[in-house]
Formats: sequence, C-alpha cells, structure tokens
Amino acid sequence: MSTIRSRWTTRILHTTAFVHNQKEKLLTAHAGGAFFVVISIIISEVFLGLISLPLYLVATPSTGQGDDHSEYKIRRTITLSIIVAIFIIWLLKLVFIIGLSLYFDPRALYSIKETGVKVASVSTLTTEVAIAPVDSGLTPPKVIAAEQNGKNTVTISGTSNPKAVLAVYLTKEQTAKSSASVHMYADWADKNGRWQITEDANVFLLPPGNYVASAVEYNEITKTKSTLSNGLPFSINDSYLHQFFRRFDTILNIAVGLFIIIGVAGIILML
Amino acid sequence: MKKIVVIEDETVLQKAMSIELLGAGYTVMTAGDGEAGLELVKKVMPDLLLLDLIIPKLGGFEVLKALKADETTKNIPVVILSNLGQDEDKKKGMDLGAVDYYIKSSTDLSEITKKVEGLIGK
Repeated sequence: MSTIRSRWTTRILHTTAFVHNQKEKLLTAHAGGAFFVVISIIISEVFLGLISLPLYLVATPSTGQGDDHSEYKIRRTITLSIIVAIFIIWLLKLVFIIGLSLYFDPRALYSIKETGVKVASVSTLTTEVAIAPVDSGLTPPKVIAAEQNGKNTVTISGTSNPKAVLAVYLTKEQTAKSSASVHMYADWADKNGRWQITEDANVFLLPPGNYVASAVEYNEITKTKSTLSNGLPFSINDSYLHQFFRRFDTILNIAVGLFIIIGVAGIILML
Repeated sequence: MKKIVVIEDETVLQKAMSIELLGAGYTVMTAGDGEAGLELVKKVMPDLLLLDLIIPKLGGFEVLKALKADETTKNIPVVILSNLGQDEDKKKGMDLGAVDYYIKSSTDLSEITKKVEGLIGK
C-alpha cells in the first residue's frame, strides 16, 4: 500500500517538476520551440490535474499557514469540471450513437468523392432490363442533370434516341450495415430524345447520401439494351436538424477539445 | 509523534508530501511561502524541516540562513527539495547548513521518507 502511495506521490512530484522545468524553458524558447513547450505544459497540466484528483477529493489533515490556496482551488474546480463535463458529454455521445443508429439509417463508414464512382453492375438487377443482352449498336443515353428539388426529392434528366425506353438507376453508397443499393426507374424519351424522371419523396423517401445516376436504353422488340451511360454523381442533403444529428459526434468532439483547451489555458493563466 | 514542517508553494505538492509523511507516521504542518514558513517553524519547533527553494516572499536560501542564525532553530535539520539542480545551488544549500539536498525531478518521495526516518526516527 505504501509503495503504491509513494509511486503516486512521486509521480505528482515529478510532474510538477516537469511543468516547472518546461515553464523555465518557455522563457528562453523561440517561436517554433515555444509552441511545443506550451503544448507539453498543457498536456502535463491535464495529466497533473488527473493524477492529483484524489488530493482534491480527500482533505489531508495537515495544518498550514501562509498558504495561498487560490491556485489550488481554481485547479481543483477546473479539473473536476472538465472531468464531469467529459463524462456527461461522452455519456450523451454514447446515447446518441446508439439511439441514432437505431432510429435512423446506419451511419456511413466513409464518404465517397463525387468523381470516379463506380456504378453498380447492371447485371445485378433483377428486372427484364437487367437480364437483357447488351446491343453495342444501341447508342447509350446521356445523364445530364441530377437536381434535388426539395427534401429528399430529386429530378434526373438526360438525352437518348427519340421515343426510347429508358431504365434509370440511382446507386447509393455503401453504408455500415447495408451494401450498395440501387433504385431503378423506367421512362420514355420524347420525340426530341429528352427524358426526365422525378424521385418523389411522397412515394418513396430517398435517404440522404451520395448517389450516382446512370441509364441504359432498352429495345422492347429485340429485348436488348445499350451499354451503361455515364454516371452522374449527386447528393441528397439532409435537413439542418438531420445534418446536426449526423455530425453530432464530430461537434461533441470539437466541443470537448475546446473545453479542455480553454480550461487548461485558464489554469496556466492563473498560475 | 514527530513533527515535520513542509515549506512548499505548490499546493498539490504540499498535499502529496503531507500524505506521504502522514503515511509514515509523522505530524505534518505546511506553509506556502518563506515568511509564513519561518514563522511556523519558530512557533511549532519541528523535528525536521522540508524546504523548497523557489518560494514566494522569502526565498528558501534566506529561510535557511535565518534558521541557522537563530539559536533556537539552528539545530533543526533541514532537507532541501527543489527544482534547482545546479551544483552551485546544491553547494550553497549544504554550506548554509542543510543536511541533504534533493532535486524534485529525480527524487522518489520514499527516499525522502527514508532520509527523514534516518535523521529523526519515527
């Protein structure tokens, strides 16, 4: 027991000595070096605050005089506040992380850049178009625009041969619990070869995320299809509330970081 | 119970040293600056003084000088525990009458306790 106590009190002694030496070093350090010294002081102060926490909690039965306890009280208050705040914030994070993944879609493991995204193979689709052989003689359509009109509603438009039958695919990025999903739509181009489909939120809610729109032309007589068109990336954005929840983890991490920096800076300024 | 006075301005360290020495069976009294420390020593006449050198109001060397100049306190053994690690600081401390000199960054508090036990017993 006394060995553990000695190790602990010695660690406190060495840490205070280290902080003191770093402060001495700071007086002579130049810009670049000073930055690292300040960082090491901040980390050491946090470490000291944590390892000396039991001292703050248990009053030692020593009698003193001429003691200036203001710095001690400030450090004690800040350290305890930081620890309680971190605990509450991480508890909230845990609740939100579990709650959100149960209530909303699983969070994406990564985000995809809106260029160079591979479009899902058409052959994976279980529709008539999917099993139709590719006719290289058929000119593939072009996807020109993908625009979000309102909450989770998107309009895809493009060009093809006049009066052509089109199968339009919206491929969603892979998420933590689901593989890449593909939504398929059919449309008929007008006499000028223009076509447009609208994903209506009232019919089917397109979840927020990154998508790629692509299309093939389908010949109903020969039961063949063209090669796949270009892939046009687009995103379905969340509402601000939804975005807030999606970024809650990041926001909390930043908040904790700022809290610690401000708290430790406060300690250093008070010393 | 033997009495020890600790003069140390860092409150956390005051507490840590008190815990260590209380655990070893001593009565510990603390002071946060040189003036208060000197006053406390004269008042309680401890069996040993544990002295930091960089302390407010009256520096550790001045406290040591004053104690050694006073007939009533000159025999109180003084152990220095400081951040100052230069040879000249050590020499100065020992010349002024300290019985030992420890540098904080390289000292184990159990060494101090053993030293105290060796000097004044339990």
